[in-house]
Amino acid sequence: MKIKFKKLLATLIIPSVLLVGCVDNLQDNNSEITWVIAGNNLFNGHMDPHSSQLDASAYLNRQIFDSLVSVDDDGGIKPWLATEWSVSDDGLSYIFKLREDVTFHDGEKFDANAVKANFDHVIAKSTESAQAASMIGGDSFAGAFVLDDYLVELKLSNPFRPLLVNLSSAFLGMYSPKVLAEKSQGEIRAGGPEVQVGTGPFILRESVTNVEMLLERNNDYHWAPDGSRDIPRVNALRILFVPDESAREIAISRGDADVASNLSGISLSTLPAEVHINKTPSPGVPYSVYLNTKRDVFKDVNVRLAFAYGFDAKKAIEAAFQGENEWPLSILSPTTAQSYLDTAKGFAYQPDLANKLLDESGWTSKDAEGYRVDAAGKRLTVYWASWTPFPPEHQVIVNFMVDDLKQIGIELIHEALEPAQYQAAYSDANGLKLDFDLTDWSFASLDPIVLSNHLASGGYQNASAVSDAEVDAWLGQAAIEQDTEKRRLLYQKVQEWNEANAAIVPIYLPQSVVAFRDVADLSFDSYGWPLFYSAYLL
Amino acid sequence: MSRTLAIQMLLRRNAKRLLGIFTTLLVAATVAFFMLKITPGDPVDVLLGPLAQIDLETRETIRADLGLDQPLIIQYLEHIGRLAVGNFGYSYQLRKPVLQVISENVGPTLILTFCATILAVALTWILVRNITSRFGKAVVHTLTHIAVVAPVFWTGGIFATVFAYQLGWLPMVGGSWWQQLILPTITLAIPLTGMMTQMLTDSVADHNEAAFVISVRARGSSEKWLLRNHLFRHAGANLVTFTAYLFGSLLGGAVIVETLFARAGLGRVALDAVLGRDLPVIMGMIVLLTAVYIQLSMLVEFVIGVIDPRLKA
Repeated sequence: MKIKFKKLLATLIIPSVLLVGCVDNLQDNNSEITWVIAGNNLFNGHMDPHSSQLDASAYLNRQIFDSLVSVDDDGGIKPWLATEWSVSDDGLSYIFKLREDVTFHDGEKFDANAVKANFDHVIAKSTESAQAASMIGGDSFAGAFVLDDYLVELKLSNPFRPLLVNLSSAFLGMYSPKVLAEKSQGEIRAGGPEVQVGTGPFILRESVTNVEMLLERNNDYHWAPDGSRDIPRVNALRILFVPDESAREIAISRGDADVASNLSGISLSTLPAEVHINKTPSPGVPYSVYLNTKRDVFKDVNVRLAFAYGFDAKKAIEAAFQGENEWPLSILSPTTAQSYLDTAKGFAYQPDLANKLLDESGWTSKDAEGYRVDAAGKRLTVYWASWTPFPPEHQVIVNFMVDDLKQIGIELIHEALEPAQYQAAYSDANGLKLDFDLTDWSFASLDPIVLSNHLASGGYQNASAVSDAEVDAWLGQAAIEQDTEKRRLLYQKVQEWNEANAAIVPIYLPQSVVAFRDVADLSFDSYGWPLFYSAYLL
Repeated sequence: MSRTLAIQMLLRRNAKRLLGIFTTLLVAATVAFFMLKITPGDPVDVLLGPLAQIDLETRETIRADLGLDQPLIIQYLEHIGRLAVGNFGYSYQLRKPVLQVISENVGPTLILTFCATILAVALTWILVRNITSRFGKAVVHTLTHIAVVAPVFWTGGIFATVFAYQLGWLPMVGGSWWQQLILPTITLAIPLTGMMTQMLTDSVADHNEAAFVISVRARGSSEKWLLRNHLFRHAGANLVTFTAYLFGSLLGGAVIVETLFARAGLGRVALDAVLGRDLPVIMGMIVLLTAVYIQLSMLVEFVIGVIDPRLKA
């Protein structure tokens, strides 16, 4: 029987090993780049960049859709599908002259009517735009008007300073007008080769839900954002959706994939030498906690400041990311265009100061476990609700915070809620509900206008529930200010205000980490997301 | 018995069975519907995500489009009514007909589940044949314990690291369809093997002192002969039922393996649907899985009849 068993094993294993070997040798270098991304949410109705707010929707669709303008490394605006433009003195009218030699993947002509159709789609109620509409000014956007075959005007009812830089985003990529006319919004959200039709360097050929997308080179492409007139150098781009991070790391380590996105950076040192890494700090708001200034103990600015100074964020992120991510000094990333507060000091760990602040606020007694209590014996507890999935690195940070804060007598209770539960705590039919003391996220944005969403009263992401007349005035003025220096000063005032008020406590600077091997001339946009139009396999 | 009487009996028997199937489906769909409705969270909010810049008016429009503004009982009756006429509806999240969602994903899951079950049965067979010696029994016992308690995400991770990363034998992503199947199949088969082997060895142990076993031993048969020709036959009926149950549960439950190895499948669809409160997909999945269980139980009845003819009577 033992001999039989061995025979059985041999018959099973030997052919498998041989076959695996054969197949490995057969894989040739047929100029197809394989790109692994997490992106598993995309198939849940997020394939339309005009309606989705997911980063993945933008960086995937970037390969398929072009924009009117592009942004260079210094934040300057460059031509793309628009060759030139003019802005009226009052900032209410933008006139774009369009390229005349551009066609969509389905053969439709790119012209002023196509541009108008796209902006009409972005602002249509039925589009349910979660980001693109606000990137063109939201209610301030008065519409797109065709002036000539290749001349289009965008009108605003109020000046909206970030318009040009935002137009470079893939969220405002240009669809074939035929798709917008013929497909329902449901179909557009679901995406697919019939729907994701742009003018970009790659054409979507196949899409398998949750598994992969196959993009083929657009052989007519000669309008790359860098001004080159070359068609993409690889035949195809295969995008594989791999939700598990370690699986993406194994894939790039083995060479199953040529490019891997959505890596947290922790195990970068374990990747083989032939794997190269591109790290770009995300512009916008760093990963932060938002202290609810309208609820319980955080109504008191002293308690907020004590919280902010009461934990060692540097040590926590060192442990969580092993030195791969930096500690931010302000609520804007230094890479956010023309707005960073150079004098920002950040909330450095100062337990003595934190203790002093809490004493001043009357939290002087402690209970048996060492937590501070008020006169009625109520413990100084703050409740932090997060959205799941909650990454393990963030859990490490939480653990450090819980320990540090306990030292100064604050009890931090953290809970990662299932998305639906979180939403129920976050908002209801009456608007933001914020049924927690703090919550957390990061928000990538090229423009500092992102602070309006987070700190202006009525801002749709104002999880700190800030309503401060001065802050509103600064942010309102900054949104329309045409002078770069004046605008910078306004945003710097907002950042200083936060240093004194601790509505947002930044924890670490997120970064886009892209690993690649045997690929040359891969370029990256301002967010650090990969662009494949010039890339080729070595 | 006259011919008409026989037909009448057949009809009555099948009517009963059909009624049973219908009731099972109705109860399953009803429980699923109300469980989802009592858990906090609104499908529209989940759909849009926390960072969506969408005003309340538009949210209400979406809610109305999905029929979520209707009273609960109307929503329930609509869902049940549609299911009754075979209309599975439209996924909130995926923006596709539910039937299309299921049919796109059922293939990969069926293949994976089928291969894992076959592999598990084969491994169980190999393991259980070794329990005749005390040493063999101890080894099998230990192995099955490890197999049962080891979480799938852990064993899957180990296999991925060893066979894909360290040894490089198999691709982590990409590769041919059968290469993509090997690691997930083994990962999924391990706990199955553990459970099946435990079940089978327990069943054998139960019968070990039975009168018929003592009588076979008294006739001087070897332990192996006894195991193969008598004890396995007795335990076989339980094993078939158990395997069918495991197979059914895997159809909707292979989510960890599917996620780790980035495979399409019903498990991921089901998880996304539950997290996103995607009611039409959940209801569709429940009806499908219930139907599969009913089919399996009919198949099991038939197979057991072959293995143990006493049960047929």
